[in-house]
Amino acid sequence: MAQPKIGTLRNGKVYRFDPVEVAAHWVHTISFFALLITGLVLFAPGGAGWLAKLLGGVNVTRLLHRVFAVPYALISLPLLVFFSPRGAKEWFREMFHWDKDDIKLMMGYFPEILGRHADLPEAPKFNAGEKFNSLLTLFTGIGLTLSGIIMWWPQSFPQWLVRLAYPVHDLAFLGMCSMLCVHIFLSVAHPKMRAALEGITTGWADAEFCKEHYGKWYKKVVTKG
Amino acid sequence: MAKTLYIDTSKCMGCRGCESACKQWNDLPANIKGDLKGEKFEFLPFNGTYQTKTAFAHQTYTMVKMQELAADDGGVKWLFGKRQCMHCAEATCMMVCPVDAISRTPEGAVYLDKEKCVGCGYCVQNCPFNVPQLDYNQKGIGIWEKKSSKCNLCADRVQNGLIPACAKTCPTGAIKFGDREEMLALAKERVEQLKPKFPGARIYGEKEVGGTVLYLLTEHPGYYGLPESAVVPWQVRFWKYFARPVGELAVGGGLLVILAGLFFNYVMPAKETPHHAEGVK
Ligand code: HEM
Repeated sequence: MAQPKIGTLRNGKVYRFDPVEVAAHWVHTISFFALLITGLVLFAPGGAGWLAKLLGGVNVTRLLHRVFAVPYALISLPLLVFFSPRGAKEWFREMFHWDKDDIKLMMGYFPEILGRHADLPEAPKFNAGEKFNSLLTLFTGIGLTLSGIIMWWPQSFPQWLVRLAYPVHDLAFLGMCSMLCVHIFLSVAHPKMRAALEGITTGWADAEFCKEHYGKWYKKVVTKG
Repeated sequence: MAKTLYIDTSKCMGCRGCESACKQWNDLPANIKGDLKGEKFEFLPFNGTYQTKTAFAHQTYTMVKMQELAADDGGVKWLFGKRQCMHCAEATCMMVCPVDAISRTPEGAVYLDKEKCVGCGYCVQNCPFNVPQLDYNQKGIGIWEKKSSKCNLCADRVQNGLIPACAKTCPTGAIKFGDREEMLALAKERVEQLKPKFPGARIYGEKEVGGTVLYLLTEHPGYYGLPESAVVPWQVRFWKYFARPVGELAVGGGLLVILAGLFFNYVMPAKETPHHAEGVK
């Protein structure tokens, strides 16, 4: 069956993401969480000792962290780029394209998080918060992967670089976790933004929600189908 | 009471009795077959030097390094330098250990507790003297139990009023152990004695790392494989005083946003519905 065109409106829902975009998002999410949990044990072997026991000890955790690093580094991005070039193009364009409205939205968004109304400009396919999250995901992903490779095979790199890899890995990991708190809160717990979760899971998101939150995108691409 | 291990390289004749005494007291295997990780060779190597140990390893806490130098009279000079953990005053290994397996004894030694060690290798990567080394034990496919190991300055002996095994066994008096002031005085006296014949004579370790291990060197430290200035690597300071605290603060901020978000959306929601939310379920 032919896939609907992005922006198709049907039964009060808009087609927002194709299955490849959805898969890339969730492969990334699952592998990231696996790395986060195993990484936490390596970050604080004392404080997270109970977690280490659960996973089978620090030595097993070290192996698990390396195992999950492979899908994290090798699957989601190539999946998106090679199998949904349209999705990849949109994502990259959005995250690197910032105009005055995006900055205004970013600056004024906090009351919305707390469920208060703020007068905000309309957003394109991804709002400023999502753009920022995308940028952070991409760049911490690169940082974590490069530093992780160095930490994995320390004998193959100069000592100063191995020593530098640890603070880089930690800074990227903690920065991403900080962003993740907001990202997860908005997607699973926030009364209004929760609707976006349906979009990235089924591909179809509530039309009213889209009109409200991605006004510029809605006007440009949504067509009755 | 701060103690010091004082090594007078001008008195060392390279017998390597200290290496053997160290292995005997600490129950460390010899590496005759060359199959212990960290020091791999098929036969005892002959490499044109009197030095037998090429590197620190989990079963090698101390070694005598040897260097040949051309002398002014056309002959050669032999330099011997007995090496082990420097027990630094500002110890990088202690700073980076995530489980507090490394601590300082009342006598000033930097003590590594193998029971507590989880084998993360941070001390191995960051030691400015490259002293600690990992002991690997395979537990399964891809699963290694690792333990860091290094000289503990015979803490068990010292606590019971004995001196470290290397100092005890040294036949020429090149290795001494005692109160810091006493050892420093000996070293200063010796430098003055040697200066006429060895213009390069100097004390190493007093300022560089704090004096728990003091060297009397007859040449530039580089000839003994010692760094000219040994400091905590800048990456370690960046990690410990910037990356971790700033990152943790950011995560704390993220968690606060979740709490505030839950509170203001569900416990104390906004009074009126925002006008633009009409029609949204
Ligand atoms: C391709 C991606 C990655 C690779 C290759 C990688 C590899 C590594 C390696 C080799 C280590 C050292 C483990 C050891 O002690 O033996 C490590 C540590 C760690 N990793 Fe990763 N990793 C990756 C991604 C991630 C991600 C996505 C996270 C977090 C969300 C993460 C969090 C951590 C943490 C917290 C540590 C402990 C560092 C410390 O103790 O300071 N890693 N990683």
